[in-house]
Amino acid sequence: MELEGPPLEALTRRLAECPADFMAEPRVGALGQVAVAAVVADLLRDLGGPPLTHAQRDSFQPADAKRYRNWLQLVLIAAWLLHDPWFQSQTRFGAAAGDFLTGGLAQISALTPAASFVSDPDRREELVRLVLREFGLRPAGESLAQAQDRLTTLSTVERQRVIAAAQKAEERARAVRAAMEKQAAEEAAAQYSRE
Amino acid sequence: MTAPAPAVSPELTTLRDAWRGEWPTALGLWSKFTRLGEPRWCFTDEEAEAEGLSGSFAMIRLTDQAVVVNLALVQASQLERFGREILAHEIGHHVYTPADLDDYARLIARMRWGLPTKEHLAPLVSNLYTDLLINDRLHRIAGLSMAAVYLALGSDSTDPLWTLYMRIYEILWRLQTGTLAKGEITDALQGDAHLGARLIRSYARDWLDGSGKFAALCLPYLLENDGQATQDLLKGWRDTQNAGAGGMPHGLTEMDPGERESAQHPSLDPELSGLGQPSDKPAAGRSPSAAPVAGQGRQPFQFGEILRALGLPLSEHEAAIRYYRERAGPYLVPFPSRLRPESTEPLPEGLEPWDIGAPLEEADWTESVMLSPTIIPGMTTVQRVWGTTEGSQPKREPLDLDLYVDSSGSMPNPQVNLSYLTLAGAIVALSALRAGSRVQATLWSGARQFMTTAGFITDQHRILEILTGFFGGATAFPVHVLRDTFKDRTPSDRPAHVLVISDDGVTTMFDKDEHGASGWDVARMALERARGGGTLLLNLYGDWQANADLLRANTEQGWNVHAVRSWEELVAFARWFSRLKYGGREAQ
Repeated sequence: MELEGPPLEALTRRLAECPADFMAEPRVGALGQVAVAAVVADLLRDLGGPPLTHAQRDSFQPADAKRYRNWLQLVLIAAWLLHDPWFQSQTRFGAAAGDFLTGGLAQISALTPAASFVSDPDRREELVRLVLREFGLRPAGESLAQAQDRLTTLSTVERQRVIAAAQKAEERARAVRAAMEKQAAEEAAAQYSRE
Repeated sequence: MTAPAPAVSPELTTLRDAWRGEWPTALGLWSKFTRLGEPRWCFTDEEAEAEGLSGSFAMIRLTDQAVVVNLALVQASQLERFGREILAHEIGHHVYTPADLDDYARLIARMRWGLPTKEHLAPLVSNLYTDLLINDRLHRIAGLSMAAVYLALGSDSTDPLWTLYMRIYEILWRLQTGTLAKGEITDALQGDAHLGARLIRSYARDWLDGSGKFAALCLPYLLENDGQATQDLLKGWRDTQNAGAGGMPHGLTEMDPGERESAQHPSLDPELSGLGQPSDKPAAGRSPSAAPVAGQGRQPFQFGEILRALGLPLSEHEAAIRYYRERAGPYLVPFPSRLRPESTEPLPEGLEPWDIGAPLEEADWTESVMLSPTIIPGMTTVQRVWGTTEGSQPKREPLDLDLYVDSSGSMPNPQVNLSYLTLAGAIVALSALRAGSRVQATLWSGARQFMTTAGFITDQHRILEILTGFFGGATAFPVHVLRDTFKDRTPSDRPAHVLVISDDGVTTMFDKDEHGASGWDVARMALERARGGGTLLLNLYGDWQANADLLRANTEQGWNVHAVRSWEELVAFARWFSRLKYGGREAQ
């Protein structure tokens, strides 16, 4: 994240305008419409990277639809983002993009529906920041500290971790409140019976 | 001669002019069609206090859609350069949230469910919630730097509630951690801040639906010291603290559908927390499957607490009067009346006392002054009594109502919990007044422990005040009041219906009076001279016919006996009463 990249807003807007072709059902086995491996191969070529290896191509053609569908859909959306003219003009992100699409999206695709990365402003921003970090960039006009802090704040993984912590704290507080209410009711009942 | 007004400092005049110039722009930020009167500019704390503003630099009044600004406090807080932000914020309270007194009351009511044991802090939490909604909208849509206002307020407080509040703003406005929030950000607080930010965006339109969740989110941070630090920090910006003073919300006696159920911590709402498996359903917004159940009735004490939270300084008794008036409203029934030939020529026949509840135009001021040069309304005022010569046009004449309300210790306190008997009494009394009847109401408990209107009046408030009163003492029916009411009643007086609200203690009305006369004789005499029938409305759990006295009262003297212990019995009674004929007997 040492280098300044493009403005954040330009990329989040591009995501928001993701065309229906990239939101279509990815092909898994005989089902689906879009061949994800072909889309990724075209992208890597446009970014100046090496062609897809056999192993990479196979990874975008899984057989288990239930397990990989959301990830493939997110790969398509990320491919649309990476087709941005700014990235193409740099002609140096092909290899990094290949690595990112192969392994960088697995964690968030397991937690969030792919369509959210188009429809939800926070998820759009998260995906853009993840891409920039993968390429060693930060949004134009931001300091390194700001970029890191914002990515941490937006991170789905981090967010789910702290919300789980909040949920546990609430459960503990609720148990304490219930115990206090029970104790108060018992004391009131005892006082009533004495009177 | 009054003291001259203190001179206004030129700085404050300049500030007023500058802020006045920002007012149209601030209005336009919400809509070009927004119309609101210019704020009341106060130059001193005394002026502000006279407007009901104390401690805060600005406030709203929902009763007259006013914005009040204390310029002296603005200057002292060094907020002069934020005229547009602060004015736009205050306008937001009028046009966005809470917008009107009814919705403000519903907001408080919902938040109370999310704040068990801390219900009294609902006004504070509602202020935080509405401020978040308004400021976020001004930041996103109008592009105002609301964060700069909080930076100018300059708090380094590490109070957990304040830290949560500021951290929510940081997340909403993409500010770096620590820009506004200075306290320790634990994982749980960070999670709560994420949930709060998500909630503010998800419920920006249906903000009432999210209010209970926001209250539940704040609750853990209020348990230790009532969020005292946040209360102190927000002192200058408690702009809705007394927003409802002087008004009266409607529709508050019943809960909104889902009001109680929705007040859960947002971490328990998968749509807000995002915890669980990814799905194709959109994350934000309300779940259509969580259809709320129909509204339930609120108890009088809850109703009173909500009104007081709105800034209405009402006693429990006063709140109960408003509660029963509102609950009775939809159930008013036709009151027994008879057709009489209408006069073609009014004939002045004499004078009678004019009480405060009677229409003002009926008072005869000339005769009142002749009676007493010093006018005391209700005491020395009289009205002309007009006689009629019979004509051909018919006219409806209603019965009067003589109401006796048992307030002994065995009766439920109507100011705390809903009393179906009191509600039934309110329905009958208000129905009577609506039909043009006059009502005498007597609240009774032990011997010499009674309160009465001392005559048939039309003052609705006074009648409900008696009806909703509570002594909680012994049980002794005021036989002498019944006797004195009817002993001198003549056949030319308007007939009256006698309604006694009680429980099994009603049989004390058949005890001897202070002169040793039989209560049975008094009851018979009263019923005969009333000529409008009589009803005993009782909170009885057994069969009333098993009670020998009640059976005798019914068969020998003709008292109608009804038990009302539930909503169903109340409705059945109201239906029966609406069918009463003029003489107090049920229509066929």
